[in-house]
Amino acid sequence: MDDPTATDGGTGGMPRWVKAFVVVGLVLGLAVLVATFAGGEHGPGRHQGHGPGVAPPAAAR
Amino acid sequence: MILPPAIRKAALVAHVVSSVGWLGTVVVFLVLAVAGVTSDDEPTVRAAYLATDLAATYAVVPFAFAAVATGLVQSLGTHWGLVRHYWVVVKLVVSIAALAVLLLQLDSIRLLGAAAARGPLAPGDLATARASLVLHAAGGVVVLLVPTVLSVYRPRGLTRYGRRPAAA
Repeated sequence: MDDPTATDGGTGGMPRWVKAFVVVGLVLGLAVLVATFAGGEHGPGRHQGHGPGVAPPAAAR
Repeated sequence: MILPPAIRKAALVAHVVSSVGWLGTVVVFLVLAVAGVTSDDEPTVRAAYLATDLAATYAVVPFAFAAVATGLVQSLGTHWGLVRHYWVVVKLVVSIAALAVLLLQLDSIRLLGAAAARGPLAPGDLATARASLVLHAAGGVVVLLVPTVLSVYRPRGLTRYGRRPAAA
């Protein structure tokens, strides 16, 4: 990380690879939002009390 | 503030070690999470979730914080800067996002660790949390490869801030 000039070069706008990252990030973010609000099975604290396949630990039965 | 060369080297070593450590511990975490879902051997399943809890608490999370912190030092303490180069910005955003997801997963990890500590886990117990661990750990491995690749290739591209004259 000692030679920033080695990759200095972009003088135009946002490079294509950055745009690709932004698009992928937006798609992933949208997918998480859809999973959270539509499916209800995504996000912290949503694994504990409901949903298919969720059951109390065997020891608690 | 640009760090002196000797400190810069030491900071770089710390950043490489913590970043690679983060990726490595998530790989081990993924192996344990997959064993927890696929193994038919009950003691193995319990051991897997006890181990994921310990690994997350004492290895993955510390490495993650260390990687982000040392990355900030590397950016701010060298000519690269924090927002001058797109690859640095993308790396920072991806790392912070990965750290956030990790912290959000801790509830599930602790839940499974506590359940495993209490007693046997049947194949269907806490199935969503168990699947979530596998999914997020696998995603984490893929996502953490991004900063690694960016650090090596350092693709071109200056941000608007980076294109400004140094005196500005």
